[in-house]
Amino acid sequence: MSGALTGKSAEAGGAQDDAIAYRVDRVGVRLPAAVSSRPVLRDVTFDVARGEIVGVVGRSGTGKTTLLRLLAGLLGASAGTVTLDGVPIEGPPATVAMVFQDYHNALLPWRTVARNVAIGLEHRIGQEERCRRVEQALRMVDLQDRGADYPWRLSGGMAQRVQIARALALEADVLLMDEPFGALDAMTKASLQDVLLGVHRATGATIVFVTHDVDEAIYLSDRVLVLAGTPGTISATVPTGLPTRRDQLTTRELPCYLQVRHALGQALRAGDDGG
Amino acid sequence: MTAAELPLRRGRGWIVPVVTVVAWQMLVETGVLAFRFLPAPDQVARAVLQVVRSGALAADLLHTTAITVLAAMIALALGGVLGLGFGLLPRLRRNAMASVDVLRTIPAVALMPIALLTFGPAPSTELMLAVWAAQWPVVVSTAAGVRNVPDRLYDVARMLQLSRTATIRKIVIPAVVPSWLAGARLATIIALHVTITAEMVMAPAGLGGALVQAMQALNVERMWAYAVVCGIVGASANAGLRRLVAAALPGSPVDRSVGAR
Repeated sequence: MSGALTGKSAEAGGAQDDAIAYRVDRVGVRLPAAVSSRPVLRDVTFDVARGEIVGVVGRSGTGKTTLLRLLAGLLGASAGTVTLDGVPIEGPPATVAMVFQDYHNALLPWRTVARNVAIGLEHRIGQEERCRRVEQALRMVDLQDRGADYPWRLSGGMAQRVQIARALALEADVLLMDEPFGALDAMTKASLQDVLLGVHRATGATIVFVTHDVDEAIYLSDRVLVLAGTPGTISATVPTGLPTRRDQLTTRELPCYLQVRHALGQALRAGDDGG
Repeated sequence: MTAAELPLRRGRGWIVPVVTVVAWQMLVETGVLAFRFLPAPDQVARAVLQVVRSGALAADLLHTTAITVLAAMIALALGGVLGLGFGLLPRLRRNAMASVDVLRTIPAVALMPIALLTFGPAPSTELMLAVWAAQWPVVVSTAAGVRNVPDRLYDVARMLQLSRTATIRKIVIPAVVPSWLAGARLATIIALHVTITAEMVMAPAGLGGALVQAMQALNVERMWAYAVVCGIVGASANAGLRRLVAAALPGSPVDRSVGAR
């Protein structure tokens, strides 16, 4: 994903701005409710650097999914601005791919795995290039043998890998993930976390994901954001400071891992008291 | 279960019909069942053989199945397009769905005298009536199918930058095929019923026409023979369609639950 590395110069310009993928500035979101509308997010401000992995944690009802839909361009802000590479977001940008939690709804049951991965490319590139990219994407998530299978023949973990492959085939600069491993068992979860880290090392993509699992957030992220309150706002930002190479056992035993875990625990508890 | 048990188990469905036919035969022969116009099963069977041999059945069967199949195909196409329209265009749905609910509940049989006098006793009139009645289940189930497409798939389509046309072609239409085919099965059965009834009412042709002619000629065995053939046609159409639909949808929900978890 050369796009993530070379970058395009932003409107604002400046050396520092070139390193910024997302800039979220004092954003508020109101969603339609039974009577008028309900505030879901208020005064949310943060940046995401190119190539960074940012995890968003928070209790239910703090607007985690809404925040991600905002970044995806599936939802507009009622206040404030969201820019990607300096360009305000109006609708889903072509350089952003999204992985949803409910894989049984997000994959097309009538298409094979390979054709599910190819769907985003069909109107963009020729067949030869498409086949090459699909094959490459499936290999990166270790599903090269399952291209001809139907999604309902796969386990949940495999289905999520298909969704990741679909994003990879698009060669997107940004990968957004909404509780991607939330519905999986612990073993599958751990192995998919490592698949995701491998993908990140290989592509340098910017990744923003939402999770309710604090350990997952720390293990994967460069930085963890805590959303708290109703309407939700960012109550804490905790850099993890973990080495790039991570290991399911040793990384989780590092002193800084435990410190981050403690800090996040306190932030989430404070959010609890406040809410 | 052992290999010997299997055929026995499979044969269980035949117990009730076989007992019924044997009992019917005995009751008529012993005079317990003594209606003026009730033949015994062996007489009905002989009459079936006779209409088969004379070639009369083949012509009638061809007439009825041709109209039924044609009507079902037109109803599928028409109902599919209408259902897709109702599903995709909320404004159309709001304005027209109430009329659809009224129109589809009018018994098609009640329209037969009107159709007969307006269009005359022709096969095209039979076809029209059959299409009219058969399209509604397709319309309703296709429209419901469109509304049941998970919202998530529209999110996926938007993230993949699919245009509205591409979304309909690649996501909505394939997602709706199972509902459409469920409507197709009902539509074919309804088309068969309406065709036979229309033949009874208006045209001296087809299975329905032959059935009524036999009745009017007091040819009881022949009448029964045609009634039996109608039953066989209906039952085999249903079974055949079920198999066709299952073959067309290898990922049907029954199948899908196996690998998913």
